[in-house]
Amino acid sequence: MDEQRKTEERRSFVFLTVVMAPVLTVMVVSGYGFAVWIYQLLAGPPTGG
Amino acid sequence: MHSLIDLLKRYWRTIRRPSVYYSLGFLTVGGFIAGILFWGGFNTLLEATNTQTFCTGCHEMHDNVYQELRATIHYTNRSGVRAKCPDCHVPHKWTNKIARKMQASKEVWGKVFGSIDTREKFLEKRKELAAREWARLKANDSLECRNCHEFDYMDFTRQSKRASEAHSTSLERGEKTCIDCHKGIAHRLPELTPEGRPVGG
Repeated sequence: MDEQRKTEERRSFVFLTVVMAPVLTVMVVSGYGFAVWIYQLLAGPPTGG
Repeated sequence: MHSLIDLLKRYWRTIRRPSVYYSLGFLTVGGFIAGILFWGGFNTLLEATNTQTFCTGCHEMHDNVYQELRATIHYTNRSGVRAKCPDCHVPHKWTNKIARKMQASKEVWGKVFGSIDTREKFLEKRKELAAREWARLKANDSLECRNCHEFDYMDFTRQSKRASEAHSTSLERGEKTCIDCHKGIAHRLPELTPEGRPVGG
């Protein structure tokens, strides 16, 4: 039983699911929002069609 | 410093190789559940920023536009239907909604630096703020009005003569849209001096 490896695997899993994935998702979604905003600045407000 | 790099290297290795102590089932289901919790929380937070309580949480909105709205038919009426801030001012489609939420970063900026933190500043800016919303509603063919007011469901016989004339001609042909005539219905119109400058400026 490699206790250190087990600890590292547990911490890695928690970090990936609780910190990294949510932070990345929020960054991608807000980046998308900003991109659409900048597009709307150039192309005018959405037409809603 | 060296030990930090060693630590990162060790964890990078752990992340890249198969787990020895945690089963594939646990990792997959665990990740899946975490995803559900995240998305639920994300949407809850998004909706929390889409409430009247949130919108009128700052005095800029509460003391100016909100007080004006309260006297209008969209807020106080016999039928108990109420149009709240986001019903008209936040797009309902997801993409446009997220874009609008990002635009709100500019409003946070304005809040921090006090762009309209006094009544005088608000009155001075009212024309610019109103013009932006008019342009938006003009471009999307008054989408936020039409979310509730369906043209096809309108009974012209129950409208005033003037209203049914306008609705059955210009509006029906798509030459005009709601906002072209219905300005200043939820908030006061910008007041203009005879020279065309905003009053109070």
